Amino acid sequence: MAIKELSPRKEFYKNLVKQKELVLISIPFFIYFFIFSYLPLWGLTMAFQNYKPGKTFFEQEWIGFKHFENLFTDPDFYRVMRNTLGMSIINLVLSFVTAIAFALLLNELKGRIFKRVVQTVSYMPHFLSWIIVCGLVSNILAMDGGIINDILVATGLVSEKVHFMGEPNYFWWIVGFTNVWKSMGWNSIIYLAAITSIDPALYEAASIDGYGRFGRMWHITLPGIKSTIIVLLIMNAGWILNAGFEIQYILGSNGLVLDVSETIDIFVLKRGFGRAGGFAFGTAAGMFKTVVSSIILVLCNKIAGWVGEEKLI
Amino acid sequence: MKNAKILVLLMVAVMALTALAGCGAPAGKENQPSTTAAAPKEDPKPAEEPAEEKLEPITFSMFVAGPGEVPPEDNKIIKKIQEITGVTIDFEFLVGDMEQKVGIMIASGDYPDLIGAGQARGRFLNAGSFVALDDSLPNYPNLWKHYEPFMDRLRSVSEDGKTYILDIWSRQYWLNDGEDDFYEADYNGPAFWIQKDVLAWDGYSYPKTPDQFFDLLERYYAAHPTIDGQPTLPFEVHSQDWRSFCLKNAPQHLIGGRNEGDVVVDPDTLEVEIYQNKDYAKDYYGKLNEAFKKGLINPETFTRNYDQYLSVISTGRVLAMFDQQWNFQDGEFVLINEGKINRTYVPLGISYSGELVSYNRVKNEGIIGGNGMGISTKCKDVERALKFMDTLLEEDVHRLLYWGIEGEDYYVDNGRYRRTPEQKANFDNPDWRLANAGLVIGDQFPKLEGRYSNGNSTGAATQPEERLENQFPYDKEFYGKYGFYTKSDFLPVMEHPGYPEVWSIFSTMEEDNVAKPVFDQITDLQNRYLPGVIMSNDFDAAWTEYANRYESIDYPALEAEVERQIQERKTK
Repeated sequence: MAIKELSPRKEFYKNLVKQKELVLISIPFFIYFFIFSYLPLWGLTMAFQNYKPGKTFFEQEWIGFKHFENLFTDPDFYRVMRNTLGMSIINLVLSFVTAIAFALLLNELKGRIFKRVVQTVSYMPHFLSWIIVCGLVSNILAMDGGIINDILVATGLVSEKVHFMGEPNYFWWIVGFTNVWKSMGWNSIIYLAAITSIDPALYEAASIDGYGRFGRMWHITLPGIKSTIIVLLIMNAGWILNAGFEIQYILGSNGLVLDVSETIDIFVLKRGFGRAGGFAFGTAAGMFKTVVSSIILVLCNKIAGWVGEEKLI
Repeated sequence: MKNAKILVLLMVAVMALTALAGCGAPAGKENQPSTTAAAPKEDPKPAEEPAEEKLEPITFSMFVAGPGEVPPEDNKIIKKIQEITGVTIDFEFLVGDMEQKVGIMIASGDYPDLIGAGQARGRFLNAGSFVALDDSLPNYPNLWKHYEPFMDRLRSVSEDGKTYILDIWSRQYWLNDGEDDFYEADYNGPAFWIQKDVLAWDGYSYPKTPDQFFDLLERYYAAHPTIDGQPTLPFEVHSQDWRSFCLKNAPQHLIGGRNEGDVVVDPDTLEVEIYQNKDYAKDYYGKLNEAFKKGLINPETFTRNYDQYLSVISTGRVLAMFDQQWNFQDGEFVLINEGKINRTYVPLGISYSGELVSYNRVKNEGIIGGNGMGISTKCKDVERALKFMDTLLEEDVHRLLYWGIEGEDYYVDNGRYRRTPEQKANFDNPDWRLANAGLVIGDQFPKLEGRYSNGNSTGAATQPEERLENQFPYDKEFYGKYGFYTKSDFLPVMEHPGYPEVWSIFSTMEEDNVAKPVFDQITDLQNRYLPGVIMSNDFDAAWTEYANRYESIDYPALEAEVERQIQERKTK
C-alpha cells in the first residue's frame, strides 16, 4: 500500500537497495557476458567492410552487403549447407533415438552393479578428444589391416575390401555412427535422471492393468520423459547448423570425400583464414549461420508451445 | 534467517573472486611475454658484470612455417650456442594447416620474434610482418659478406623494394680448386623416386619413360606381392593439403621442365601456361588410371594423411612415388636406421620422349630471394637477433651446428674432417640428431653451404672422403653398377634458365593480386577432382568433366600475371 505512493523511479531504487545481494551476485556474470559475449559482437561489423588487417576501424572501407551477395552466389556455399544439414539431421535423429532407447533399456536392467558398469563404459568415449576418436575410426575402417574389413572379408560378406574412408556415400554415416558411439552413453544420462522422477505407483498401476515390460515402457516411461525429450529437442535444434567440425576436418580432408565432408564451419575457416583477405567473407558466413540458428531456435520454441509442452524460453 | 544471509554473502564473495580470477587471467597473459623477456635481462646482470664480453642471455621465440621437431633443452650443441651467443631459440614448428595458422597469426598481429616464413612468405610480407633490414645488414660483416652479392634478389620479393626476408639456403662458397663438384649436396628435389631394390632386381636397369617405369613396377609387384610379410604398395600418390604437389607436379617434368609449381614456362619465349588441363597432363593421369586399375596404386593412398604416408614409406613396402625427397626423408631415415638400404630411393629422370631430363637438378645460381626467415615487427631486440645470425655464419660456430664437437662427433685427420662409422651412425639416427646435433638451429637460419676456407665441406654429408668410405657397401655397389658417384647422378644437370622458380612468384604474390583467387580455385579443383579421375572406371568421361570445370576458371588471367612477373625478375 505504501508502495503505490512511490514514483516508478523511486520504486526502482528502493528495490535496488532491497535486493542488493542479488545485484551483487549478478555483477560478475554481467561482466563476464559483456566481455566474452557482447564485446566480440563488434567484430561483426567486419562483414560489411572490405576488411584489411593492420588498418584501424576508421580506415576500413564499407561495402554494404557485398560479402553476403558473394556468399549466396557461391556454389560452394550451397554444397556446404547441404552437407551441414545432411550430417546434422543424421546426427540428430541417430543420437536422439539411440540415447532414448539406451536409457529405456538401461532402466530395465535389474543388476545394480552391472547397470553401473554398462553406463560407465558407455559414457567413457565422451571424454576422448576427436583427434583420438578419428584415429581409432580410420584405423578400424582402414583397408590395410582394419578390423572391420578383415571381418567383412573373413565372413565372406564382401569379396573385396571396402574403401570406407574414400567413398563419398559412406561419409555422412561414418560421422553419424561415430557420433553415436561417442555420445550415446553421455546423452542417455539426462533421460535416466528424468526416468527416476516418474512415480513408481504408475508402474504398479500399469502392471495391475496387465501391461507387460514393453507396454510399461511405451505407456509410462516414454510419456513420463516427454517434456525432457522436447526440451532437449529444442536445444539441439538450435544447433542444427553445427554439424561438427573436428571429425569432418580430420577424416574428410582428402579429395575423394571433400565434396560431402565440408560443413559450414570448415567453409568459414577455410575462406576466413585459408584464403588471403578472407576475414570479412568468413565473418559474413559465420554471421549468416548465427542468424539462421537463432531463427530455428525461436521457431522450435514456438512449436513446442503449440503442441502444449513447456517452452524453453 | 541470519544464516541464510551469511550464506548469500559468502556466495557473492566466492563468485566475485572467481570472476575476478577469470578476468585477470587474460590480462596477465598479455603481460607475460614482456615480463619473461625482461626477467632474464635483469637477473644475471650483476653476476656477469665483470666479464664484459659475455652477452646477456636472451630468448627469441621463432615460428617456422614448416614441419620440424623442437629439440630437448639439454641438446649439447644448443647449449654450446647459448654459451657463445647468449641466445636461446624457442621454436614453434607448424602443426596442421599452414594457411590457417598463418592467417590467425596475421589477424591477431601476435608474432613471435623471428619467423621462418617458408611457403607463407607472401602472406607475411603483405601483412607487413617483418622489419626492413637494409640499413642494418652492412653493420654485420658476416651477414653482409653473405648477402651483399644478392641484395637485388632479396629486395625483389617485396613490393617496396626493401629487404625483409633473408634466404637461409643456396648461398654457396666454393674454392674453385677443381674439386668443388665433389662437394655438391645430394639431390633432394622432385623426381620419380624408386627403391634401389627394384632397379637391382631388374638387372640395374634405368626406365626412361612412364611406360617403362610402370611396367617395371608391375613386374616387380608380380614377383614380390609382399615385402616383410606386408602387402607391397607399388606406387604412392600423396595428395593431402599443400603436399598435393606429389599428385600434381609430375607432368611439367615429363615434358622436360624445371619445377615451376603450377605452370610451365617456355624457356625461349618465357610464355607461361597452366598445365593441369593439357593433354600431356591427361596422358600422365591416364597412365595413373591404368596403374590404378592394375592394382599398382592402392586407393588408400588418397586418404592417407602425411603421418600415415611417412609410416608406410618407413615400412619399406612402397616401391616408388613422385615426390620431393625432403618431403619423404623422415620415412627414409627410418629405413636407413634399420639397415634396409635396398629399400631407400633414387631419383629417375623419366620423360615422355625417353630422353633423360633434369627435373630440378639445376645449376645453382645462389640465393633465389624470399626463401628464408625474417625478423618480425614484434621482435624484442632486432640488433641482437642480427648479431646472433652473424655469429652463426662464423665458420667455427657453423661447424658446431653441422659437424658437432671435435673429438666427440668428428675428428680431424691431416686437416680433413672425418667421422668414425659409429659417429656417422649416431648422426643418421633422427632421435640422436634431435638430442645431440645443432641442425635444428642451422636449418632455420642463414648458413654456409659449399666449402669452408680450409677446404672441408660445410656439412658432413657432403664431405667427399666420407661419402666414399662410409657409403653403405650396398650403395657403393649399387651406384658403381651405373658408374655413378651419388644418387644425384641419376639426373643430368640443367643450366639455370635465368628466371626465378615460378612457385616462388606464387608464394610472394600480394593478397589482392588478380591471380590469387584464380590460383586458389585451380588448387581447390585439382585437389578435389584428380584423385577421383585417377580412380574412375571411365577415365575419358571423368577427365572431360574435370577439364570442363577447368574451363570455367579464368586461368588466362593467372598466366598473364605470372608472365609479367617473370619479365620483371629475369636475370638474362
